Amino acid sequence: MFVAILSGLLLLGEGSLDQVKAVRGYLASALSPIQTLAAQPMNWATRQTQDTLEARQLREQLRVLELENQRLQVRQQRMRVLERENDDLRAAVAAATRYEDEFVHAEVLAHSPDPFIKRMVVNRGFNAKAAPGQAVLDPSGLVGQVVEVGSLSSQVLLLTDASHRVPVVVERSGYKAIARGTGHDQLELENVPPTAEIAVGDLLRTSGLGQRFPQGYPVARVVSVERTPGQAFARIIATPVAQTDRLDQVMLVYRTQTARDRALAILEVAPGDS
Amino acid sequence: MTPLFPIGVLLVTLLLSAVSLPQEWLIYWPHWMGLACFWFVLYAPTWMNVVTAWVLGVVLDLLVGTPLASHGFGLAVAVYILSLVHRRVRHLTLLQQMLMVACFCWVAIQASVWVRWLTGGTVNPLYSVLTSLVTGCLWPAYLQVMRRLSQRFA
Repeated sequence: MFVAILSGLLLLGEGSLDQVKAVRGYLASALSPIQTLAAQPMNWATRQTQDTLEARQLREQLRVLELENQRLQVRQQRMRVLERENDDLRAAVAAATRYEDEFVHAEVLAHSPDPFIKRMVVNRGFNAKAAPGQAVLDPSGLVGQVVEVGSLSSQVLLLTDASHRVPVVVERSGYKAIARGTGHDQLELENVPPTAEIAVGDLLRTSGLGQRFPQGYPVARVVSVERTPGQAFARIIATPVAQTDRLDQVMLVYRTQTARDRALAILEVAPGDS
Repeated sequence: MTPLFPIGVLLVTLLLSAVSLPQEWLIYWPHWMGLACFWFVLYAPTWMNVVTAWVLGVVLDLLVGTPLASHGFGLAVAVYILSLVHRRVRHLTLLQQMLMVACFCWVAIQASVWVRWLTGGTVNPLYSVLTSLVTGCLWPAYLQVMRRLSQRFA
């Protein structure tokens, strides 16, 4: 009975008190050596399989990577031109310059060993100025967000976890919705009317609403749209563009300015226009 | 029994619980913390009671990232019931013990699953059944290893 009450209190406390979450972050970071150690056998097995790749395969991989690198460099040159053009245009309409997000590289120490919890531990804690709510990316798109911060490591909640929500916008039509994690490797769009402009293959990006995730990062691609007559909402399933289950390197996003700061900056630039 | 033995067992159990496997294998990974708690209740009851089991469960929650006290509550319930009947269970045949361990493991996991349902998590109902069956099957081997270790180090 005592234990049941204690469990209930702890659960309630975790849900509502920030102090309990902070303590949890500290305690969890104390356990991170165990997680690092426990991840070693799997890392070793992966390394072994990688080491035994034949030289031919490695040469092939190298060729593909060189090609991709060239392609990216060419695109980057174009990007620079576009960025400058964009800045010029923004200056022309007296809008505030867009602030660049900064990235810090982090290594994944462990994935949650529970099959129904989509979390991982990364090697950046509050020493690296990680903070709860910070967005986490991989090269292809959004991975999740930091939820608990310890001194040397942080827990990242993946966007496929059943308790995770992310505001998204459909790239093609501009329709905005909330993407809910399903607990499997998929996302579901919540409360979307059957008439919404969404089709299979559409890319979902972060909309920036809610001010938690920075705007414009790819999140998922729609894989199925079911519109059942008589149902109030369409059932829309999307798969994340990031490989959320087998990541070993991620990027933490540091936002130089919040959306509110940006709005204030606009007011400062053009006080008469508001 | 020196305190080093239970501490060593606890560390190894935490390591085994945190092993990161491919997603589809995790459901067949035994409930190591349950095994360790049940062994201590049956063969070294001075080292294990409901509160210890609860604390160990909370440590497991911290390690795995589940809602705090969900594993703690499950393990405490299972250990409480097992401690009521531990003398009887100790004298059962090995096959019956395996079944009992699977049942108690199911109780521990299912209680934690209920707590997670209450807090809004989604858990496949097969999880508790498969994991507890695997844990039950592992009991004879675990018993042998722990017997050797406890004779040598305790």
